Amino acid sequence: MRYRFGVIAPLLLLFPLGCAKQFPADYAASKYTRGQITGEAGEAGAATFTPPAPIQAKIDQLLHEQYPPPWAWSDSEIASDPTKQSLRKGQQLYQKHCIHCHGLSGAGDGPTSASLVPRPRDFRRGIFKWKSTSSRAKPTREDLLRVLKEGANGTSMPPFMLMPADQLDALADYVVYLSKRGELERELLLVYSQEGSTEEELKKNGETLSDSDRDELIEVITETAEEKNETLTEAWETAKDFVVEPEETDVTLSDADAFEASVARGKELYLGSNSGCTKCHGVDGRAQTKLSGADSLDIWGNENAPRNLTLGLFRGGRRPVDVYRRVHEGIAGSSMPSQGSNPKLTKKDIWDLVNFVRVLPDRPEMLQAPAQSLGGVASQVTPGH
Amino acid sequence: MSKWSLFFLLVPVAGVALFAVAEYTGWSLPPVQSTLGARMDHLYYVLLAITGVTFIFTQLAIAFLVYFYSKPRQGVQPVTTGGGALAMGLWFTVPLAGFALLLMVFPMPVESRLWMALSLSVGWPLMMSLLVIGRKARQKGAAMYMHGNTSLEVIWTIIPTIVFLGLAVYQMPLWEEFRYPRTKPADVMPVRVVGRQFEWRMVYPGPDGKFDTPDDLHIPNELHATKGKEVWVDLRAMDVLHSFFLPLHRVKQDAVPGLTIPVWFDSIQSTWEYQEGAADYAAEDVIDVTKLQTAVNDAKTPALAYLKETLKLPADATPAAVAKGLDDVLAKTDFYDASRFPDDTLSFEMRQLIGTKPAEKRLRLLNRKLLDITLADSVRPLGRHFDIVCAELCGWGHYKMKGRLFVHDTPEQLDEWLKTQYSLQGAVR
Repeated sequence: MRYRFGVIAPLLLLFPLGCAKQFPADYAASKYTRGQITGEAGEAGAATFTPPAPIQAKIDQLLHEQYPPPWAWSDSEIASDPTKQSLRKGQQLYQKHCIHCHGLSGAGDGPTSASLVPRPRDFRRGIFKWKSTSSRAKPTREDLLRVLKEGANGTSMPPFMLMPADQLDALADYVVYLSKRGELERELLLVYSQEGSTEEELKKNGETLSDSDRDELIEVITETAEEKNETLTEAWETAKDFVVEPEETDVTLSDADAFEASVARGKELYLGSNSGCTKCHGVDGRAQTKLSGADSLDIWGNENAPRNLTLGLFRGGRRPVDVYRRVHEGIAGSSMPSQGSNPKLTKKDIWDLVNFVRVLPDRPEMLQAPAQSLGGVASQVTPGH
Repeated sequence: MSKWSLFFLLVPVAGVALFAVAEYTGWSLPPVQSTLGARMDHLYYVLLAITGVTFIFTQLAIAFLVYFYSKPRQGVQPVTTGGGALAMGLWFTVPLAGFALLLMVFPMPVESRLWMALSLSVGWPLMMSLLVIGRKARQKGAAMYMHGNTSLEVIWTIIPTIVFLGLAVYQMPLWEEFRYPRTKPADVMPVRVVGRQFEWRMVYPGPDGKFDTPDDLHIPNELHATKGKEVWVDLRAMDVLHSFFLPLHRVKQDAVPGLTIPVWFDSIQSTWEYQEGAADYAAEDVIDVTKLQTAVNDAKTPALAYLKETLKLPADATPAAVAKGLDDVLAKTDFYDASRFPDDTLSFEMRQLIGTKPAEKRLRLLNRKLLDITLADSVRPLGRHFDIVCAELCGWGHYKMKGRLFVHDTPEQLDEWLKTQYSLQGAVR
């Protein structure tokens, strides 16, 4: 009897306790290596770059002041503040629909992320691929909403087409919030990494952080935080000014002959050396190539996988204008270059390429597989399936 | 023993009662929305009647046998001796009265109903068999022992065979019509539905009427159709097995990678008609009375100002009272004509709803939707739609692969929607 009680009582205790995970007091500090912060190639398996405690505390404090976690706000605190209400709403929706892939602080490290190819976006870089703006600019709000609504076809990002508009708005706001927070954090670490050493490095060299150095660094970091925040806010607010508007194409689908001619020109351009498309996407368009050197990894440290163009999966949207922007601006963060800045191609050439790329999934036979190809799985996949 | 048989009889009685009340408490099938679906429902009820009646009579027979053939304990006056006629009479009347009474049982959650049905169907026959066997073992001579009776076996083989064969023949035309349709209407709009984790991708052939051309229209998660017109879907899957499920249209078909499976259905009601039927406010639609009161008192929009005038909210208003008030407003006001709403806050569908000017009969719905927008967060929006889900439970619950079927009133409305989508899809700027 006593044994049975000993087993059952703890089990019963679990009921009121539940198994819900408690939210932390704040976002977790990002774990970057020095190489990841500075962008220089770091040694493999390098240690996390952690500034000495007083500096880290200052960074945490600055981040907390600028970007406090919305879940920690009290109800009375947000009652009279519409911005906070919207962020709280966004955070709650994020927690429900997004957190399991994109992670608590938007680092793309949620529990599901490990099993996903491609990996979910890490918002902390402030770099987004599927946007209408030039490659260095932030996406517009409409771009974020578009990806939310339509998903990214060919990835694990599902469409939230049926979500009410106000919820989508709140989510977009929160994504920007996370992105700005992540970018600020990176910037502060970058500033420190240029000036100072980590706790471990100090210890190893037998040095200590003097009080005057510490105060000076804290001052620099505080100033940087202010500046960076202004830059970030401005960058997001002015994103609209950087929208890439193609000159209207003179070829439309309704003029079949002209369109076919454009597609044929696009094919020549694709295979030609001026565009350099085949370097990654292959002469068969199946992208059965492996990139090497600096191109092998994207800015997030994931493998750069050139798209198989015959599959008909347009991640950034399948409208002509979407494909135009991909070709014209390239894909931010990846090795897809901007053809808009390629002096050998005219705007009209880019439209020819766009028309060709849009037709290719339906006519994969336009590009012959090279003789040495194994005729692998990709060539057997029927487009549209 | 005989009294216990009455006690255990309560179990099948409760089981039957659950099915009986399900119709009245909304636990039963959702309202059917397609012509084939109505016939499928009919089949379901035929089966339910046959099995239900068989079940009731079998259970009563078992209890009856146990009641009459059990041997009373020593020293206890046997129940069946003497008063046989009265007991017999009660046996035939009480269960019937009991069923009638149980029709008024209070509602309970669907899960409990399922669990009870499961435990009943397994537990009750088992218990009864144990009772009868146990009784036989202890009381020799009380019941006749039989081993192998050819005529009985022939009877209980032939009767179910006839019933099953009858059902098989009876349902064949419906099955044929759904699975092997021979006449495809000429003006039917083809659409391809592609399942992929985690979306339903609806592909329309575009202005050229052909699939696999660059003008194909891709819409995630939203299928459009016209009331009374057939929809012919080419069902495909991209990655894994999916199951295309339209609960209200009684359509469920697995989507298999590498196969194109034809599915067709029609819609009896348009989405607006379906929503109009539930446009009233009920107490449970009022999420937060305090929030609602604050919004009305602050009156930041013309619509809220109107509500402030008409809807007198006492400080201690209950959700039910507020719902009643809002309901009166729905019936009396034409929010749109009073131009209490700027156009730019409205979705394409809302503009269409306003645009169709036999809107007199949809006034209630229109007002309801406009109020939903105004009172966001304090009343529940009218989210009544024809759902499309993946019955393979893709994603987290059904959510990630949830889509909706939008049924337009007229073909013109569908064309208008398609035209808008074509121009969006073909955007070059």
